[in-house]
Amino acid sequence: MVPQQTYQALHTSYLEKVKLRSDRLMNYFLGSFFVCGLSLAFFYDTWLVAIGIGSLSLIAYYSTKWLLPHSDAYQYMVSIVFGIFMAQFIYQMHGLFEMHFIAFVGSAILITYQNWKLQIPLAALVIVHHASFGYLQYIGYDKIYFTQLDYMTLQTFIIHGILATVIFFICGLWAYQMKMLSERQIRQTFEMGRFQEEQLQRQALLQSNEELKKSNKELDSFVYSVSHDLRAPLSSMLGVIGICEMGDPGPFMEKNISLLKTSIKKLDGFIMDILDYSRNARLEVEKQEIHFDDLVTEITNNLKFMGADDQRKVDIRTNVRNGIAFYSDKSRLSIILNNLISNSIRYQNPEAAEPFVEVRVEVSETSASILIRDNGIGIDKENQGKVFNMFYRVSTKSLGSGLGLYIVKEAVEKLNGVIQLESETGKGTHFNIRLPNFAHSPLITT
Amino acid sequence: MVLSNILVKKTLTIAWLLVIFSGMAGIFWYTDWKYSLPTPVPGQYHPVTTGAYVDLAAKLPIAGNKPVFLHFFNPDCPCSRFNIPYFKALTRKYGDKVSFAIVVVNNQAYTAKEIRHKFDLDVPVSFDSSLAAACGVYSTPQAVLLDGNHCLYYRGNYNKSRYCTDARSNYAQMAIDSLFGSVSRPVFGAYALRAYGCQLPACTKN
Repeated sequence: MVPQQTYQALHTSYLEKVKLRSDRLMNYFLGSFFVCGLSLAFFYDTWLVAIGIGSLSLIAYYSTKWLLPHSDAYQYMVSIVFGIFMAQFIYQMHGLFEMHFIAFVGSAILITYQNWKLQIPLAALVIVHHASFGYLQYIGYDKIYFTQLDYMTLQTFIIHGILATVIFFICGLWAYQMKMLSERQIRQTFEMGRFQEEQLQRQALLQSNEELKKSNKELDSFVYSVSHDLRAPLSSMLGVIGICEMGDPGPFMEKNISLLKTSIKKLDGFIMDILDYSRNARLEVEKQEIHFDDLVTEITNNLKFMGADDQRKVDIRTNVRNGIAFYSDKSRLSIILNNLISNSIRYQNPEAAEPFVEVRVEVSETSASILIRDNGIGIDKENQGKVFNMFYRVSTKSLGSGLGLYIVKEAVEKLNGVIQLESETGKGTHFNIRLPNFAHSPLITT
Repeated sequence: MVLSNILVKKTLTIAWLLVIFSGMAGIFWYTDWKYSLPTPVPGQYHPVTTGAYVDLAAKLPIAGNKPVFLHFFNPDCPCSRFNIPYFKALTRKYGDKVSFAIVVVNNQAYTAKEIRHKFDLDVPVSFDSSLAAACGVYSTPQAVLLDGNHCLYYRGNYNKSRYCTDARSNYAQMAIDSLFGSVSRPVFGAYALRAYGCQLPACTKN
C-alpha cells in the first residue's frame, strides 16, 4: 500500500531534489568557469585576475552556502558570481566582445533552480556594469577597457540593454514555467497516490462488505434453523400441558400449569418474532396481488383470542377501499399488520370506554396508504424515536419481545415503503404506512 | 535566541562578502594600475632623436627607397600579442607604400617562420636586438617609422588605447599619413612617445 504523504511533504521533498540537483550542477559549472578563466589567462598572461578573481568568486559562493545553508542566498550568490565571471572574462580578453555572452550562459544555467528571481542580480550586475563603464568611456575617461569599440553610444547601450533584458526575462520566464510544471507534476503525483489509496480502500471495503454479507446470511440461516427447531419441543410441551389439564390437577397445580403455559406461549411468541425477522431478512420480496379485505380479516380472526383473560375484547374496525389492484409481498404485509394490530390489542387503555383498533386502507395506482389507529395507552414523546429499535421495550413490564416494531420497520423498508408514528400518552397511537404499488413499478430490492 | 543567531550569521556573511568583493575590486584596480604605468626607462638607455639615421644594412633585407615600418614584437608579451591584428591592418592598408618588417625582441628561440605564421604575413623578420637600441626602443609593442632615407620619423606607441580602438590616437597610422604628406605632422605627446608595454628583452610586465 502506498504510504499516504501529505501534499506539503511531497512538495518539499520535490523542491529539495531540484535544489540538490541544481547545487550539484553548480559545482561543475563554477569549476568550469574557473578553469575557463585559467585557460583565458594564457592569451594575455592575466593570471592574477584568473586566479585571484576566480578563486574569490568561488570562495564567495561556497562560504555563503556554508554560512547560510538553509537560506537560498547562495543561489543569488551564484547569479552574482556569474556576473563577476563575465566581467573577469571580458577583462582577461581585453574587452573581447564575445565575452559579454557569458552573462547569457549564466542566465541560462540559472533556469535549473526554477526561480525566476535569480535572474535579477545577474541582470542588475550586467546593466550597472555596462552603464557605469559605458558612461565612463563616453565622457572620455581613458582608463576603462570595457569594450574594443571606440566608445559605446547611448543608442548601442540601449539596444544592448534591451536585448540583455529580453534574454534575462525569457530565462526567468522559463524558470517560472518550469516551476509551474513541477507544481503541476507534484499535484498530479499526489492526486495519483491518493486515488490509488482510495481504490485500495474501496476494494478493502467491498471485500469486507462481501464477508459481512456472507456472515450475515450464515447468521440468518442459523437463527432460522435454531428457532424452527426450538418450536417443536415447545409444541410438545404445550401438548403435555393439555393432557395434564384434562386430568384433575388440583388448584395449586392448575395455577402452576397456567403460569407454565403463559411462559411457553411467550417463548413461542418470541421465537415466532425471530422467525419473522429472519424470514424478512432472508427471503426475496415476492410480488403478488394483495386483497386487503381478506388479509385483514385473516389477521383479525387470528388475533381474536389474543390477550390476557382479564383484558376486554378490542373492537377491530376495518375500512378498506381497494378498487385498484395492489401488488406487494403478502407475507411481509401480513407480518406488518399482524404486529401493529396485536400491539394495539396488547396495549389497550383500561380507562378507555370502548377499546378499538381501526385499520384503514386506501389503494391508488402508485401506492397503498395503511392507517392503523387505536385508543390505547400511547407512547410518550421520549420513547417514540426508539420504539423501532431492536429489542427496545418501553418498560420492563412490556409483554412483547422488543422485536415487533423493529421487524415492522425492516419489512416496510424491504417493501420500499415508509412508516410514520404519531402518538399521545393516554389517547392512542397512529401508524401511517405508505407502500409502493408494485403493479407497474419494477421491484427494487434493497 | 535562534533569531538573533540567524541575524548574526547574516551580518557575518554580508561582512565577509564585502571583504571578498573589496578583494576583487582591489585585484582589478591593481591590474589596471599596472597596465596604466609607462614602461620604466632602462638605466643604460640612449635616447635616439627624430631624424637620426638608422642603419638597416645587413640587419633587414629591405630594398628600395620606400619608408620602412619596424614593428617591435615580443611573442611572450601580452600587449604585443594583443597588438597583432592592428599591425596586420596597417600592413594591409599601407603595404604598397611602406616596407613593413617585424623585429623580434625575445630571448627564446623563435624562428622567422613561426613569427610569420603568428602574423600570417610574409614580411621580413629580424632577430637583431641591436635594432632596438639603434631606434631607441625599450618596450614592446613599439612602432618605428623610417623615412625613405632611413631616418627616424616616428618611434612610439601604436595607440593611446590599449585596444588600439581610439581613432583619435592612432599614432602609428597618423605618422605614416603625415610622412606621405596627406596630413601635417601632428604633435605627438607623451601618450605617443613615452613607451608603454612590456620591457625588453623578456616580458616582465603585463
